[in-house]
Order: sequence, then C-alpha cells, then structure tokens
Amino acid sequence: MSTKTGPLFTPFQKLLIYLASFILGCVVVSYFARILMPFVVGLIVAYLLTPLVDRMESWLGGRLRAVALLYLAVTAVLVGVGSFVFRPMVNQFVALVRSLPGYLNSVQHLIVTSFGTLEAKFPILLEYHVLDQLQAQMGMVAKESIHALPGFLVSSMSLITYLLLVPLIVFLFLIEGPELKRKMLRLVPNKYFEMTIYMMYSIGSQIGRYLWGLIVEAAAVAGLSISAFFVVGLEYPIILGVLAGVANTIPYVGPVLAALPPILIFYLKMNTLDAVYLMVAVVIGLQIVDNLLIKPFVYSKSVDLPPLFVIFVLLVGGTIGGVGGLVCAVPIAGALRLAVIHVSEDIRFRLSLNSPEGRKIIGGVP
Amino acid sequence: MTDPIWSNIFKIPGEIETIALLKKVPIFDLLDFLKLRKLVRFLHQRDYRADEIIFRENEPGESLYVIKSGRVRIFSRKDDGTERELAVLEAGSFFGEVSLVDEAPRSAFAVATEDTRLLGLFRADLLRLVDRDPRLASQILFRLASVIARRLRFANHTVPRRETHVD
Repeated sequence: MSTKTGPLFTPFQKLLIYLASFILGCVVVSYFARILMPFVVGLIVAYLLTPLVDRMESWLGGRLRAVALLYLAVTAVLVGVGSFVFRPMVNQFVALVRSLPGYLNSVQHLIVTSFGTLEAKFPILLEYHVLDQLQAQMGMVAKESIHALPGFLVSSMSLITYLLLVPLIVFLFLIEGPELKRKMLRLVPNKYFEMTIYMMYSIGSQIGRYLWGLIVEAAAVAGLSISAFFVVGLEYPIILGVLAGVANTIPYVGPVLAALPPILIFYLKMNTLDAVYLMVAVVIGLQIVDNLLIKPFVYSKSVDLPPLFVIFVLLVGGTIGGVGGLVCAVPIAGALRLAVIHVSEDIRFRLSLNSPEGRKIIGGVP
Repeated sequence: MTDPIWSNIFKIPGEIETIALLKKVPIFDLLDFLKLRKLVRFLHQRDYRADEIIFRENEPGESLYVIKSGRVRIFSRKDDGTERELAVLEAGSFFGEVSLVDEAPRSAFAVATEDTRLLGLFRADLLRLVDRDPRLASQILFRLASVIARRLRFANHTVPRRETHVD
C-alpha cells in the first residue's frame, strides 16, 4: 500500500521558492558581503583541500601534521611558481591598466572615423546627430567601466586583507572544520537529522565537483590562451590568458568578455582587419577545444539550472560580489536548489503520514 | 583509585567506551584499535527520549545504528493497524544496516522504549570514508556484506516454504 501523495509543489511554485530563497540569501549576503567574503573564500578553499588533508591525516596520523605539511608544500610551490609567473603577470597587469586610457583614445578615434564614413553614406544620420549622441554615450560608458575595473576585480576588499586573512581562515577551517561540523549537526533535531546529513552530502558532492571542474577548466583554458597569444604575438599574453581562463568560468557571457580585450588590443597594435580575423579565429579555436575536449572530461554533472535562471543568478552575483560573485553564483544557486528539493521531499513524506493510509501506518505511535 | 603516573590519563574515557562497544559489533569486530578510533570520527551520537521514533516504516533510510545505551523496539504495522513486534534490542546491538547499501525505504519502525543513546553511521559518511580511507571502508563493507548474507541464510532456514502446484 502506497502512502505517497503527488508532488508537494508545482514546477512554478518550486521556481518561486528557488527565486525567493536566492533573493533572500543575496539580500543577507549583500549586507555582510565585505565581512563574509574572506570567510566564504576560505571555506571554499578549505572545502576543496579537505579530501587531500583527510588522506594525508590517515598517512601521517594527525590532522595538524597533515595541514602543516600541506601549507609547507603550497608555500614552496607558490614561491617557485611566483618568481616565474606571478611577477611577469603583475607587471603585465600594471602595464595594461596604464595603457587602457591610450587604448580608449585609439578606440574613440576608430569610432569617429567609422562614424564619419557612415554619415557620408547616410546623411540623415548627420542631420539628426544620431551618431554624435551614440558616440558620447559610448565614451561615458567606456570611461566609467575603466575606472570601475580594478574595484570590480578585487570586489572592494583590499588585496592585502585577502592575502593575510584567507590563509589563516583556511588553516583554521582545515583543523577545526570536521569537529565544527559535528557540533553544528548536534543542534539538528533527530527528526531532521538523516535528511540534513544526506542534503549536506549531496550539496557538497555537487559543489565540490563543480568547483574542481571550474579550476581545472580555468587552468587549462588559461594555459592554452597564454600559448596561443604568445604564438600570434599579442601584447600582455600572460595577463590576458589568465583573464581568459578566469572569465571562461562564467557561463554564457564569460567567453565573450574574455575575447573582446585580445581582439581589441591586437587590432590596435596591428591596425589591420586581418589581425581581427586572426584573433577571432584564435578565440573560436580555444572555445572549440574547451567545449569539445576540456569540458566533457572535466565536468561529470552540471548544477542543472535553467539558462534564464543562470543569467539572473549571474547578474545578482556580479552585483554583490564582482568577479568572485560571478564565479560563485551558479554553484550557490545549485546548492539552494538541492536544499529545496531535499526539504520538500521530507515535508512530502511527513505530510503523507497525515493521509488516511499514513494514519493507518503510524497509528498511535507518538 | 587510578594511578596518575602509570595509567593512561590522556585517553578520552568516552572514546574508549565507544571503541569497546564497536568491537563487539560484528560489522566492526575485525578492525584494530587505530581503525576503530578513525571510525569513531565518522559516527554521530544521537540521544532519544523514551517513546521517541527513530525511524518510521517507508521512510527513506540512510543509516546504521548501534545502541550505546537504552533499548529499541523494532516493529511493523499491518493494514489493520495492529503491530507485529520484530525485535527488542539492547545496548551493544545494531540495526538498519541494510539501508547503508540499499536505497529502499525502511521496512519497519524503530522506537526507543527508554532514554537511548545511539551511534549512527550514515551512508554519506561511509561514501566519504571510501574516498578518504579505502582500506578501512572496504573492510567495513566486506563485514557488512557478511552480516547481511548471514541474516539472509537465517531467514531462508526459518521462513516456512510454500509449495506451488503447477498444472
């Protein structure tokens, strides 16, 4: 005899619940974003490193030893890699930011020339000053974007705060994390305990796979981009390649955002349309390799969200947390979706106990 | 009185009691002290009041429970509402082990008949253990399979066989 009822929520109700929980979460996070961000970053890094630390703990016989050894290894790698990669990357980033006003002037000159040609062909545009207004608007947007770019990239927290706080937070999460989790679970009532454990595991598995997939994909795309940009002779290949790798993690808009700077900079350097065609071909080639080779091997499951909802989630994430918010928005939304699914299944089961068939089963048991 | 110089004052008394209890459970009886100590970190201790339901029939099941103290009554309910008592388990016993490997819902009720303390091993934690310490996880899974097989053989001997007539 089945005691199951129909679905607890209709698809539209589920969508409303996802939206409501996401918006509520974003409102709370936006108030405390400045304080929370190092903890969120630290928690994510600690979560990704926990499986490795657990294995090292079983080899070394102590968690503190495992974390200490991990930190030594990471420091050694960073120092080694830093001298070869970080310094040229930082130098290129500084040089690129300094060159941006120059690029802006070149783009403005290009726009003026193009618009002049258009006005000569279509005099009506000159009569109504259409292109003048458009040019003024584009100039304003470009200036504001360039001024906002450094702040967007570091999300209004100083870099030094991140460099000092995050490693400490990660260290503490790695040492105390398992015991902290057990203490928090002790607060969950018996009635919801199994559901909570299962929900934490399924959310954790999905987010873990997604984040590792993002990191591997970003590193692969960055590596390929840097190589390709070096080969064609693009300026600032390391920083543009790294930006391409990071931007590629943002669904839908990331690859487009990543493609624009290299195309623009290469065109302004070579001053021919052939340069544009070449760079477009390079970018398309990188995307083909990413979508046909890298993504299928790296991702085992997606977060299974509708594309329109993903775009909405990205807008909210970018507004709250800048680049970090854009990267984290989709996995957080996926986690909320899983939480709603598990909770609604549990509620459905408990409601089914109130049905006539359910009452026969539970009878007088309290 | 315990000698402070010679006795091991650094071991946590609760942990030793738990390890000693787990050693008596057939699923964990072949594990050594260090492995049991590692396993303890994956267990969740839960307290239930008298008459509190641990799980219901048809509820999704994800865990095995070991009774640390107290008593648990296992029963099923028929269509007419009458109860059929299946077992009354005391400290040192375990139940729910099939749900560690099977995603089917629980096949009976489990209710604490007095204040009871249980140690729960959840499927999610066992899967994490497979990832973090495959050797320990495989030893547990092997013993778990052995226990389930033994229950199945016992059931085959005790359940009366029905004769079927083929026309």
